[in-house]
Order: sequence, then C-alpha cells, then structure tokens
Amino acid sequence: MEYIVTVMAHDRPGIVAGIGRAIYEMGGNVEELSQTVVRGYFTIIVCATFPHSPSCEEVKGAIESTGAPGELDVAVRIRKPDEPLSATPPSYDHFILTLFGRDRPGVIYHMASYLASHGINITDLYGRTSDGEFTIVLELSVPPELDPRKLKHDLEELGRSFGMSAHFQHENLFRATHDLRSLAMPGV
Amino acid sequence: MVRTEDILATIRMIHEENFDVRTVTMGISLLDCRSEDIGKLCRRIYERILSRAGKLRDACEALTAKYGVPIVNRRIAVTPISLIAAGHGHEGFLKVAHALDDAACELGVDLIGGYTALVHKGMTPDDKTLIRSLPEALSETERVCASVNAASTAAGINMDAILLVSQMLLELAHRTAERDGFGCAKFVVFANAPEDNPFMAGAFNGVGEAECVVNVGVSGPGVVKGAIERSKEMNPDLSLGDIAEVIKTTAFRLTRIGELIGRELAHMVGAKFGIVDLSLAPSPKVGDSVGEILQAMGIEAIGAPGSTAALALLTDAVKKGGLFASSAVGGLSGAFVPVSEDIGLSAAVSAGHLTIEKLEAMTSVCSVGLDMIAVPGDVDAETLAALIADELAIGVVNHKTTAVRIIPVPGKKAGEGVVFGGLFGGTTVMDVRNAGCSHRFVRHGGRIPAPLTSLHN
Repeated sequence: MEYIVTVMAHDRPGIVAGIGRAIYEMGGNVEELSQTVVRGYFTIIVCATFPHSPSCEEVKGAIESTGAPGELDVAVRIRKPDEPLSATPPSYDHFILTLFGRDRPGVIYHMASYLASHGINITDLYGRTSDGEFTIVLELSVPPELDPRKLKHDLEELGRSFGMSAHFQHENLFRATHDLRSLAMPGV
Repeated sequence: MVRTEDILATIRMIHEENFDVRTVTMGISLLDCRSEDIGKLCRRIYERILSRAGKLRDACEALTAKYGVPIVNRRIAVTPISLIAAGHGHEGFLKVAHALDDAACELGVDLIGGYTALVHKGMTPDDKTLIRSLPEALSETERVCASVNAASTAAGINMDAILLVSQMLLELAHRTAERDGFGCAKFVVFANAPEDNPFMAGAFNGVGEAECVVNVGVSGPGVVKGAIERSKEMNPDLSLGDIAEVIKTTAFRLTRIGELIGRELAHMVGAKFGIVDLSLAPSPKVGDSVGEILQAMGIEAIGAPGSTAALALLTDAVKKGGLFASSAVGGLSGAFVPVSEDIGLSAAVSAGHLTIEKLEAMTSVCSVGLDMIAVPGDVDAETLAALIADELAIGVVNHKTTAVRIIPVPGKKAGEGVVFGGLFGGTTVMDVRNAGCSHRFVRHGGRIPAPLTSLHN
C-alpha cells in the first residue's frame, strides 16, 4: 500500500532527516517526493510504502514526534490502488502559461477558473512578487481537442483585464532553449 | 519540469529582445513543370507552388500560437528559372516571372526567390536571356527576387557575367527610379551561392535539393546584444573570450528555436526539413541590429578600427553555438551586415564612420557581403562590376559565400538619404571612391581563374 504524507512547518535544517528517519524506522521506503519552501515555510509531499501496513495515525504520530510539539503539521492518506497517477491522460499536451504584471487580488482565482472550465489541469505552479510586480508560471496539461490559438487569445485577453501580460507557449519551446538533448531524437 | 528562470529567460528573448523566426522558406522544385508550351509551363508553375505551399500560412499561424514565437515571413524559393524557362526567350522568361509573382500574391507570401541563373563558369544563351530580362522582370513584379551566381571557388569569377549584371542593375534602378531604385533590392549577385539559403533576395531551391523543403532563418541580434550587456553589468571586466562564450550560449538558444519550429513546420506541411540558417538577421528596428552588438562589445563607431575583429568574434561564436543546436545547419550562417536593414549600420554610414572599403573588409569575416548599400545613381557599369568583382573575390579565395546587393539610386549623390520601407529600411547613399578607374580591368572580360587551394597564406 502506498501512503501519501504531507508535512508543513517553518523551515529549519533537519526536517527531511526527521521524516526520513521516521519512515526508515517503521521499515518503510520512500517511492516519490517533492519539497518546496515558500516565504520560509517548508512543505513536502511523500509517497511511502510500508511492509506491515501501519494505520495512518501511526505514521502521522511517528513523523510528528521527530519535531518539537506542534511544530510539524502532518497529514497522511492511503492511496487507493485504482486511483490514476495523473489527473489527465497522457494524450494531453503540456503548455506553460506565464503572467507578469502588478499584483492584484483574484488573478489566480480567475485564471484557474478559466482553465478548470476548459478541463485544463495545472500540474505545476510558481508565483512570486518582486517590487510590486507579480510573476506566475503555470505548467498546464491541455486536452488535445482545444485549439491553442483560441486559448492563447482568451488567456491574453483575461490577463489584460487584470493589467497583466500573459504568455501561453508549448513546453517544448523551453526544452529547446535550455535542454541539451537533441530535438530530432527525443529521449537521447 | 522546466526551471522557472529558464522559462523567464526565454520569454525575455521573445518579448523584450525582438527574437523571431525571420523566415520560413519553402524550397519547391519546378523541374518537372517544364513544357514546350509557355502557357502550360506558367500554369504548372503556379499550380505547383500553390499545391505545395497551400498549407504554409495555416501551419505558421498554428505554430505561432503554439510557441508564441513570431514567424515574420513566409517565403518560397524555386528551382533556378534559367533552367525551367530555358528555350522560351525573353517574353517567356517574363511570363514565368509574372506566374511566380501571381503565385506569391495568391499565397500572401511577401517574396519569392529563384529567378536565378548559375553562371560562375559560363553563360548559356538562356542565362543571358534571364539576366537581360531582370530590369523588366523585377520592375514589373512586386514579390519576385532574383539572383545570379557569378563566381565560385571551383570555377573562378565570371567577369563577363558580372559586367552584364551591372549594366542590367543600372537599367533596373532607372526603371524603379521613383522608388529610389528599389528594384535592385530584390537582386543579389553571389560567389559560392548556397542551394538552401532561406534569406532573400538570394534564396533558390538548388538542383541538389529535395522536391519540397522547409529552410528556416532566425533573427536575434537584440538577444545577443542583451546577453552581452547583462554579462557586462554583472562583470565589467569581461574578457573578449568571455563575450564569445556569452554569444555562443545565446546562439545555441536562438538556433534551437529555429530547429524546433522548422522540424515541426516541415512535418505539418508534408515537406522535408532542410536547414537552419544561423545568420543573425537584423531589422531596421532599434534593438534588432548587428551594429548594436558591435557597440555593446565596445566599438563606439561602427567602421572604426576593431570593427572587423569584433565582427569576426561574433560570427565565429554564433557558428559555434549554433552548430551544436541544430543537426542541419546550412544557408549562409554567419552574421548579416545589410546596411539599410540595420539601424546601427545605417546610422554609421550617415555619420561617415562606415565606408564601402571598411564594409568590404568586414564582409571578409562574416556573411554575406556588400548588402543593401545605396550608391550614387550615376555610377557607371564598369565601376559597379569592379566593386562586385572585389566582393566576390573575397568569397572565392576564402571558400565562403559572399554577395552584393547594391542599389544605384537614380538622381541621388553620396550623403543623400533613401527610404525603401518595411524590412528593407533606409540608408544614406555611400560614396564610391575612385569611380571610373577600373574600366580597363573590367573590359578585359573573361574569367578570373579559380584560386589555388593549397599554400594557405
């Protein structure tokens, strides 16, 4: 069984070591993980397997005990075997949407609502504010039947309504400019 | 997962530094369009071009939407017309020029190249007919571009062809006098013409090419200039070797986009992917100039001592970065210095910093030659021919492509301004010094023999 664990805490050295130790001492193994830090706050999502199938509460308790009391917010769920690994099928295409402009409330809400209404999934999202300028980069999984011309037009229009410039581009563009692998032979 | 900083760097290239795909040029073979009936020949040419390039506009629009990279021009290059219209005489050649123009107009492409003769060793009667038809062909059509290959490293320099071309250039300038001799901007004379060049006016689909090919030219002088300036801001003590590294990395990124779009476009329109031309094509916009790159490298007045060395550094670094980025590099692949089309170079001519002689020296280390320069309209054919021969000699001896696209501007003297408009830009008429002093040399005619290819010194 696969356990999905998330941990959130104020960042300090040793959090990952603690989580790793707790999983290791329970006989578990980490299958996949991703960690990030925003404004000094650490968050991690881990997929782990355990041979003896502990309860979620046991896993949660073991990880919490590696921090000071109340320091780590831990949540644990068991992944059902029939749950798909991706929210969208492999036939979906991958685009990057980038927005620049003055920070205003509601930008993410309205952009994400538009994307959701078209069945577009956000697979990665990053945003930061610097000198009052907001930059958001979204990786999108786009249904193949949607016309990129229309999406580009709509997203640019929507961005403009918030005073932001929006750029909607296929991810291969960025792979081409920053990845040394040959374009002629994908996977090399 | 693509790194956010990489995404932002690519977006800056496109939206702040004028990166674009300058041209996608579809090469189309017309060899099997030939017919004894000129009407049938023209009809076949028109239909062939429309059938092969019919999907080009849609495909370009779809790719522009997909990648957010502007594709500025769609163009067509055909088999040299001297081969296709051979035997049809002066009127026949003109009819073919009009058929090409009509096809380009119908497709909405701005230029169609291949009204071409390859005469580096000798001229057939049909080659002469094509060259003699240039004044009419290029003044009566809007979009047709012509070229003549008058020299090669293997054959030498055909001085008879160059003199004939020069006489025709003067007549063409006269016929388009109301547009400052603009007809001549659609003609280029080459040494070692490449068969897969995507850039106009010299694009044609060589006889060694496939039936339908997509070749791509990118533009990114602004990106290179921006990269140099940012690097200098971070480290004012940057050495020229460091600057070359910055240019190499930047050229890699630019070329990869050309490669990505070229491959996908070729697939979409059912053509073979030909080449990416690495040349940094400038445009008359501020921030899109090869001249400005030299300024960013510290050459304050373009044409000043150091200009040739700086251009050599730039061209070499562009090639090194670009070669790794593409599996199919070709065309001209260097750095263009088209004077009227580059705001930095054009300003240097106006200010008197850049002369024909210095420009000629600079072209020995870049591509493509004396490009888009305006000279006084009263220059004589022999002087023009001698000027062309000098530039072609640089190409022939150095095993590279060089070319001349020169506009004698009727009624204008050195120092006067001309405006061609659009991507052709504008410039100041350059002084041709010592005009008339090369007549006897040119009038000897014949062919300058091919150069020795050993004892390189």
